Amino acid sequence: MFSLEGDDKANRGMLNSFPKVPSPYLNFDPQLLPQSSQPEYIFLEGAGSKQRGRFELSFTEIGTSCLIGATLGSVRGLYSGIKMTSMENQTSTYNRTQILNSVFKNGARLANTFGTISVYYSIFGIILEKTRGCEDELNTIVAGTSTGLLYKSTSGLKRCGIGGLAGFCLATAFSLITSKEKLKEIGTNLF
Amino acid sequence: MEEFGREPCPMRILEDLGGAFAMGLIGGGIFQSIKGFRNAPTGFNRRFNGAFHSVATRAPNIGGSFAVWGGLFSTIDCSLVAIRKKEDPWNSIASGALTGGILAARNGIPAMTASAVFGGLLLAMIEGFGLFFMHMSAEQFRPQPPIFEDPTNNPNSG
Repeated sequence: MFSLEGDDKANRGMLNSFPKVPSPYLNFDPQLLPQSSQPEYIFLEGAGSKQRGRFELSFTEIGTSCLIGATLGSVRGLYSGIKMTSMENQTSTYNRTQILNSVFKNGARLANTFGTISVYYSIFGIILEKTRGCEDELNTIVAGTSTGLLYKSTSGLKRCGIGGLAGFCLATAFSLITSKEKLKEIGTNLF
Repeated sequence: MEEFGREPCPMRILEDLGGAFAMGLIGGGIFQSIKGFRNAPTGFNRRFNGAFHSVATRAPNIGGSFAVWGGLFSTIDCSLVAIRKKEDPWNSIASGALTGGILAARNGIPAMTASAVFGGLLLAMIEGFGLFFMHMSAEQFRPQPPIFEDPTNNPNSG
């Protein structure tokens, strides 16, 4: 296992390029160490995304979705405002005001929609995590489905069902993408 | 100051925005449900429908206005931190005033000034209360001076 000097053939360690190292503690074959196929990390206690629950992440999620909604809505409002004002022959002040109004109105509306959906999703997720006591893909899927059902619950049974289906599909797609490694493991265990 | 429990600066904007939106949506929902319940015509079903309708239409808007305030405030706060290289109550007060001013920018200069003064005063009050309560809570950790008794005056020792 250890070799003090020379004997390069028996010693295939990574310190072979430094043959002058005399320490027996460093000069050994790394294949003797316990081998693991998965990368090994040291997690700080209380830090890192794995240790944080849904509540700590929910505000950032809500803020992100609000901002995405505001951006998309502003772009849409800019487009429709320019399209609307280009058809009328008006002064530039009028055009500017119309475009600004359109940008603000559309951006605020889409940001509100995205933020509301995200708040519903966070509330359902937090409730599920607290009651079940664990955090997995089932939480995501159930929270997504019930968010869709709740958001569309005011506009009839059919639309409510469509909303729930959309939420279910989105949440399932999201959890399939995020848990690709776990699925691969299950697949290799099955066959 | 009391920034230890919060996210570092660029992510803090998103967190504040989301927190403000959630607060506005839930608080506005409760407020609007009471208001809609009281304003509806008599009959429990009608009152319930009125409350539901007013929540569904107005609560997201209230959340949106809260979110605009929180997001802009946090953005300016972070910019001031980056420019001045320190975090203190003046940052918050200045960003409150600037936020109030910017959000009233389309209503003319007098409205901007009034809104900026209001925002600055509000944030100064919040920061002042924070500092006051910190002083109050620090009082109980003040080290007590030890009490020495003069051994020559003690009648039991003699």
